[in-house]
Amino acid sequence: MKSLLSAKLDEGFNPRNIAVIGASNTEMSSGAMFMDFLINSGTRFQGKIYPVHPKAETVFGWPGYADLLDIPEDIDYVISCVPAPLVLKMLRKCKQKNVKMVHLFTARMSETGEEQGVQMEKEIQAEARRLGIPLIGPNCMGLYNPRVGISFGLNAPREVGNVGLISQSGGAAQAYVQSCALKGIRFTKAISYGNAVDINECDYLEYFANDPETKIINMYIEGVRDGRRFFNLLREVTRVKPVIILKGGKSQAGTRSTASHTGSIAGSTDAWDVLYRQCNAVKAADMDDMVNITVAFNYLPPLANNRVAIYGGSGGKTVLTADECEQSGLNVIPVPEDVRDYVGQKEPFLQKWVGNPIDMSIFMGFNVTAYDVVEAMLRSPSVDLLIYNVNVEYIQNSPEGMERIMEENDIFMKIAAQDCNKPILVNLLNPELPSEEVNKWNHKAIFKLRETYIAAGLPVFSSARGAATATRKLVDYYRRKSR
Amino acid sequence: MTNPVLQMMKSKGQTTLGETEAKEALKAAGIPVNEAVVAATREETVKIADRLGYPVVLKIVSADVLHKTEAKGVELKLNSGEEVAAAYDRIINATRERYPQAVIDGVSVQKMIPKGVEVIVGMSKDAQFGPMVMFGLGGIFVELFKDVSFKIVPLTKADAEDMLDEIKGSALLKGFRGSEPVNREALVDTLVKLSTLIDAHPEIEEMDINPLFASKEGVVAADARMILSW
Repeated sequence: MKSLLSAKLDEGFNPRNIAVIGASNTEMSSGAMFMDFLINSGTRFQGKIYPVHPKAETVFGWPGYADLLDIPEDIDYVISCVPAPLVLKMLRKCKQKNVKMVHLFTARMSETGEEQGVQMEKEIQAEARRLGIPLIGPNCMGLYNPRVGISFGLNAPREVGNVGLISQSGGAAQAYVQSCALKGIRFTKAISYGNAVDINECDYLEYFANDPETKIINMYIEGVRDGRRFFNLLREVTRVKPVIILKGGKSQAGTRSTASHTGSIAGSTDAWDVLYRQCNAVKAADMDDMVNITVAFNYLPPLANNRVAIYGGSGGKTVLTADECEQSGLNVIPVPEDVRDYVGQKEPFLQKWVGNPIDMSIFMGFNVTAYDVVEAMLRSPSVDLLIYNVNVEYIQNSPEGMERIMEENDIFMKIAAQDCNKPILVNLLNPELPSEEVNKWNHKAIFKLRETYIAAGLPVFSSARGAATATRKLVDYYRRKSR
Repeated sequence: MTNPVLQMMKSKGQTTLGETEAKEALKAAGIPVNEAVVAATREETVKIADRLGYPVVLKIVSADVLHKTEAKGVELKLNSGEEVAAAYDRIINATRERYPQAVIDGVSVQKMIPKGVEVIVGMSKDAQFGPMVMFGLGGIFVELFKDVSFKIVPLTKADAEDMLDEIKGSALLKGFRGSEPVNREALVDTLVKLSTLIDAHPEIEEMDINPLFASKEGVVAADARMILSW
């Protein structure tokens, strides 16, 4: 899969300096927005910024230039906010400045559906290829590279991670990076690629496949330009690292009228589902699902089996967790003999009673705690993972309740820190709050708790279903990968 | 690997392949087909039966006889040259008696296919991902339940294995209530060979092998059709 293009893209993604063409001080303009991202986002760009502005105004504190060619040095990366008809001329100037990559925020091309826009894209593609300058876009938010400080939003984390995101949509990319950030996920790079007249989804996929820092690939796509190449490439890449795909838009492009038997059945079949399965790509049902699956791949080992133990306080919630696990195809095993024997030695009365899910209430007044059982389950060769339901209700009820949960939390953190080689998944409800409650101590405590788990390297999910389906998809991926 | 039959169709500009031509193309691609050879005389019929191997089936070939079975124009399970010769006479006589005006071309000779599971194998083109192979159980399973699996071409051996396991009725292939399991190897081999044929011939637009009989011994395509575009 090693390709010259991947090396070229890597050079483009890591510039020493940036020119923003069409930079502006006017609020709400795109020229101001990208200057703002470079300067004021968490990942502040470390190199020189050259605003190109018709009157050479100083923009966001950086001296402006009336023309790209006026800049006294070569330029590595260009963000284009100019109108579409000016792009061709701009590209030729970029060549003179030895530009390594151009991001075309510039839009109103093929997406308008007008023949003129389609034609313009063709000319831009031909010119970019003739000049040998890779293009991101047009009609996109471009690059987020926390290592060098390029961002497509203000809230993207500054830390570098191990997930590579390829997104057709800029809005989806921004929202996704933020949702992931709350679960402790960080990115190597994210690209919003828009109309992809030059570099397309396959090129980016190949790039992330070749990038040693990227361990997990995420894609949001609505369609592919070259389905054959995508199929062949995807099949290769998933042998090396997981690719999680969220497909937007139920395209009818695949259906057409046919005379044969097979053809008529094929029309009602989703070719994307065929693709996911055949290529061992992980299908995400929606954005939440993609976050959860990515959390699973980020924090969990390559599980070959899915025998699950569940811990939780109140009966109903743990029962529902068990149901969700079963429905997702995880195996909620009966308490293994070795754990039963261990409990029986300490409290014969509990030997038969102890169950999975582990209900903390049955241990009151006995010489063995629910946590002892949790540890015994994690030690047992019959268990692959444990789901820990955090009893958020206790925190909501009273400061005393919160104390109790914090104590429990400390115990779980100790258990997790021991080298048991079994993952503990945290199920922590994300409360939806009325606005006046957002700042209350008890809710803050829950958010704090989430951060504590993440800092300790535990995967956090907001629902049992989220945890269970993501784990199932992870197990399926590794099983098929090892075939 | 160019398929000689498809090559010939191209030179003729023919786009629709009926049973005979489609089966010839499949045979050239290494997929077992149930050849049907038409014989005009008793002696020729026996000779063809000897070549195909026993048991064989004889069927009357006449454009004037639509319902062959009712016309006593079909003879099954013929195990020797003597049986074939006698059956030939019975078919011709019965037809002459019942349809005195009929123009008789002769009889078709086919090797009798071992009883097994009736499956369907097909192919269609997806606008984004190109040709896909379909596999499913034949008869009412495909009509009513659409119990099929698709894979994008080219298929690996593992893809073909998956197709057999993915359909809801996969238990039928493994032997169900005393029936014998079908030859998985032969089915997998057929699916992979079909994928190779399709990959080499983008002009194949649609194809059905329906039915393909799968048994303990192997697989045989009993009927097929193809649509090409040049």
